Amino acid sequence: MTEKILEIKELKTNFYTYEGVVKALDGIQLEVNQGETVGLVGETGCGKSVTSLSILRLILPPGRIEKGKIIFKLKQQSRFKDNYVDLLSQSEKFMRTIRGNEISMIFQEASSALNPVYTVDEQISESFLLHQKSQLYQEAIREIDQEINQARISWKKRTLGLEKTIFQALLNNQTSLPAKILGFLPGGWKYRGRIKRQARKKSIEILAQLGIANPENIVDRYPHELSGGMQQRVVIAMALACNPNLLIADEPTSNLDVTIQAQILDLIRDLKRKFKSSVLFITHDLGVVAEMCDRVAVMYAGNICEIAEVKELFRNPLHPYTKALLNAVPRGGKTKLESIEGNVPNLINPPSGCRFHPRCALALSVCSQVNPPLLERAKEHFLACHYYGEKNK
Amino acid sequence: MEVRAYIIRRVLLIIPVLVGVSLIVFAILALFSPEQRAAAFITDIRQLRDIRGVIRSHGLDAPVYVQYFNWLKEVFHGNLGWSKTAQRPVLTAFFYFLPNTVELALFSAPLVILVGIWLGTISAVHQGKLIDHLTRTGAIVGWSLPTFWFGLLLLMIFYGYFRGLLPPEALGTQAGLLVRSEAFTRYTHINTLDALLNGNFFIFFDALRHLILPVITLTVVQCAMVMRIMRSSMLEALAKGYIATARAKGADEKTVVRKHARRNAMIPVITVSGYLFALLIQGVVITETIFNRKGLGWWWARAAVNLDVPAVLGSVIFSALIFVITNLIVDLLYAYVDPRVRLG
Repeated sequence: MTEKILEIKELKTNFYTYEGVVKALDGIQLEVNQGETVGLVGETGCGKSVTSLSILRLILPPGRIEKGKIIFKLKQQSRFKDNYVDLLSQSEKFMRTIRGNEISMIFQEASSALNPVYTVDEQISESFLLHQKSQLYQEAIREIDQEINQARISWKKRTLGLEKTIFQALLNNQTSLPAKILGFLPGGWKYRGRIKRQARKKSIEILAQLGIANPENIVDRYPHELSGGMQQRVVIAMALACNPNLLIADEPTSNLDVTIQAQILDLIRDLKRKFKSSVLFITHDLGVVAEMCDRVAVMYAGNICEIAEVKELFRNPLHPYTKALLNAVPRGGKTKLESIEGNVPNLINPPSGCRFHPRCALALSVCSQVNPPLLERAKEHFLACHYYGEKNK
Repeated sequence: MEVRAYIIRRVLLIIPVLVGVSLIVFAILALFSPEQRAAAFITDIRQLRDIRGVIRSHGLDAPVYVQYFNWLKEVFHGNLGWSKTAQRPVLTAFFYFLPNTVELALFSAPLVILVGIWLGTISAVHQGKLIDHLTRTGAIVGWSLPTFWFGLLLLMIFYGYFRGLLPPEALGTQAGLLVRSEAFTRYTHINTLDALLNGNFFIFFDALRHLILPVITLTVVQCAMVMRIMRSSMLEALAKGYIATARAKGADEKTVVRKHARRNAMIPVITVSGYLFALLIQGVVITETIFNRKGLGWWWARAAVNLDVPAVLGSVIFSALIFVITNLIVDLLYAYVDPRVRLG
């Protein structure tokens, strides 16, 4: 039995703008199992990105997560029962230990996701420095031990010994006052330099794991010196640096050439296997979904309308919106594409009941009054539609 | 290596710039009649009897281009003429007045940069909150205040109403005498620095007391400008994708603002800092005149009013030289902060 790693229950996120309250997410239900890739598809503005930001609790004002639960399984031992924790009830400080460590995110545009004034090394190392301090200290101590063995001069041995005790003290108590003082003392340069060297080694390691040739060279480059595909690889390296349990990929290939796109998708698939993490794959490209995902969730206007295994969804779509979406995708042998009538609704005043009903050819009278619940209609196939329920009574 | 070649090229570029400046300066000089220009070389009233002789001996009746090369030769020998307002040769007067101005700049430049950047950052981070409104209003008021009026207002309040709390001039009477005494070694001629080097805290605090008002007058406009630019570029930087990346990495808000946003937001501020320097020169003239600090600005203002032509011309060349060097430093700094800028 696969275990759940993420479970989103009744998640509601609103944005309080001047024009009114944008009800961006209206009761999202979603599960991600261990080692699984879940696709989240939908049109632009349907709340895919808001969902991912809500999971990380990175919704900035004027946005606010109103209610719901985000149950997440931590990879490390913790004080929580079975390591399951509700992210929405935790402190901001706790969330900072989650972000980039337990859950990390690959953003849409690699060129803007990288800070132009820092080298690749500085940006990847930051993840290690934030989340894996103690490992870095241990490695530093190991390095000092080696240097002590090699050192011939006695005073050099003694200074190295002193440095080792400092690192051991830091390892035992990272938030202590001496550790903080060392952080900005001029003498602290040496200690910080050593830690940074360790982090740099790890950055090179992770780039090598991504199959990048010559990582020692790439690591000292600035983002603008890299190609788009390479930038995206660096972003992926940054996200995978601390071996997260869940990787959220927010349209990671939308700005790349088709050939590079295929390479990046292959890379994500390989890495998922290698790092044994789960992936929440956000995209509007159904072709990519078919390629990458185990299960798919279809979103429309802040609601999940259908969740199914990928083959099941493509073979047997049940929701009218999913059907329309699949008909709008170019496929071999099809001459005419069908567009969906009407527009994406305004989320300040969303349609009552099922948010899709004004555009739905099969709408019943109940559709405009009651929001359909997400129910399991076939095996592992969840659907939020009144029409299906009425038809199969 | 690349950088060194760039610096050498830029330093060599100073030469055509100075030639251009000297041409303009000489064109202005050529507007005056030979008799008027002869006045620049007269140090003794008795020379007036033979004004023709003075004109001839200095070649003031020669064709314009000959005069230009003669004048250039004089300039290269460091002879910029006699400043009647300073009662010294122009070059000597320059170095005589320089320390007081350097002192003023030394205190105001870091203040402008630190306060401007700090306020800009705070205001951007708390966008739309009370502190943002306050700093923005303050910036508009500060930017709109005419320097001469603001300086006089400060003088009226802190020297007039508060009975000499913060007086004008560079030093008080007693401190001034002490500075000139044998026991006081003048290392740099910068009052505050010399006082510290001599370990004389009375003079130090006296000099500091005299610095407060001019520094405020000088910095308020520039602070407002730096703050406005910093705020807008900070807002722009905070909306960028790499800020979201940094947050998603688990960085705390302090790191996000200070490490990721601020370094990017600094780039436009550095771009305008060359212009800020021009503003500083302009401000120094007004400020030193108001507070009667005997520095370069005070001298230049007096020279302009008293038709002290050699002093004015000399000052134009000096400020051009300083301006070019500052801009070189700004460009180097720019390339250091923004790796996308290629020197060359």
